Amino acid sequence: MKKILLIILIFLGILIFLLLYTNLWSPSWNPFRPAPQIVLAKMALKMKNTKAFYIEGLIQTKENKKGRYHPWRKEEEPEETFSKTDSELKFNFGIDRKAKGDPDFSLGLEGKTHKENKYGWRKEPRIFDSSNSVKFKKVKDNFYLLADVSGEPLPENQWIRIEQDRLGELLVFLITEGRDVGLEIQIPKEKQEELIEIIIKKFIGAKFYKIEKELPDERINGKMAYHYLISLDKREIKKLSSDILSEVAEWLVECMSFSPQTSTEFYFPSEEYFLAPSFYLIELNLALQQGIEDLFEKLQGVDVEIWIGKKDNYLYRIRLKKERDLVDYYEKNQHSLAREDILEADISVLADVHFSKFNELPEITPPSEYINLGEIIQWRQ
Amino acid sequence: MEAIKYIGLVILVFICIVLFLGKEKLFGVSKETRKKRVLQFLIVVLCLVLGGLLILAWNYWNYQRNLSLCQDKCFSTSEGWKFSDPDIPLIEMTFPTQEKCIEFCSSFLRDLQKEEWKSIDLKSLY
Repeated sequence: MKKILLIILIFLGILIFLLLYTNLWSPSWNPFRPAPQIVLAKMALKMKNTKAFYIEGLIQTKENKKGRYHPWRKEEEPEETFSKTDSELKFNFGIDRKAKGDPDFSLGLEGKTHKENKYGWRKEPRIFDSSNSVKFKKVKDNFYLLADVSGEPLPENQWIRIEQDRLGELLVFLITEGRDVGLEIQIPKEKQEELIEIIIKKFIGAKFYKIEKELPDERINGKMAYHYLISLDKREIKKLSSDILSEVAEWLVECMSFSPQTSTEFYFPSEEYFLAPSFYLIELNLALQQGIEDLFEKLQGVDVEIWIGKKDNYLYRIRLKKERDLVDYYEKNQHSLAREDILEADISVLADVHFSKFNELPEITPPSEYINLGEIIQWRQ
Repeated sequence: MEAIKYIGLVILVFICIVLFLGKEKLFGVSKETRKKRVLQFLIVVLCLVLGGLLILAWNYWNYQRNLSLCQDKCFSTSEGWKFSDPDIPLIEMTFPTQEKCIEFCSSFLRDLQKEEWKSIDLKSLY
């Protein structure tokens, strides 16, 4: 009897060893399981070489705050205050890298914001709604843009064609709002490739994340995937974003020049416009740094889940889901003379990005109707 | 180091199982028989330890082989041990110890030698 038991135990041991070794049974403590760093490195190489893929994403943030405002005059009753912000950004991106270094792609962005607030000194609540959308495509040697963004000088609901080598003209148009001030930006194909390289190089070796936990494997799109929890490093992300923006500013200045005919006539405006993109980027950088700081402080750290295919090494999904109570945050950051008690405050963030259609060449076609950027520039002048 | 942990665990589990199943065989028998059984048990444990040492030696040899493969790809920096290979410029990683860096480098490079990676261009950045 004991011999049989021993044989069964040895047999079970061998079976467990084989299951673990072949990764058929792969709990997080399996010593034969590949290290997450290897899985991530292989994923980066695999994604780099994927001919085509499609990304669909949603970013939602909801923030609520309720308070009680105490007027200066003691005879006045305290007033209820509130602020509420709901914003949503949907995006999709498809890429077809049939020609190396010169892909076709299509990007769609759709954003909505709803804000409501009422403070003690105002009796009626204020409501603010906005919605913007942008579609951007590259097909062969042309870019196509359809922008419905408030405050931009581009015509609404109208596709605009920009030849690949004349992308700089679009930037000039957006900066100068169509005025001829003698500013020229030349971004030929080589310069566009240089920018992509600059950005990728900044990511290489950056330690902006840390693998916190190996979560149980999950089936995604019918395939088994490694599932990791990754925490983002606030300091490194701030440094990375700042470095990228300053490199982009430097790159942009290299692409800019004055037109000799108009530079004297428009000397002051030209100089102003010459510096404008760099200032925009500095301003954007400051806003970004503050945004990152606020997000990390409000969420008390940012943890992201990722799913990577076990067999094919593709990145399948990235998700950030967090809800936090913000009463302490607002009390800590409130001005010492503030006359408001925070009653309730919370934030919820959801970012969910799905990757699919690997190596299925998407149909990225040019729009049937469009106008050339040159026509708009002529019309504006 | 990881291997020592696992080998030690296997030997310990074996000793526990055998002691649990064979405890009655040591009682109520003559001194000679008991001595003989204990000796037999110790021989098996010794075999296991020798097996473990063999595995450790193989592990050490493997580590030396990996070290020669990865010595020029893992180097010390102020932030730790950095993996960098000019043939795979997209991947750069930093590890707290040289051992971890060599471990990553060898198994990563071994994986990339498999057939499925042969057609993939590792040298380009994008």
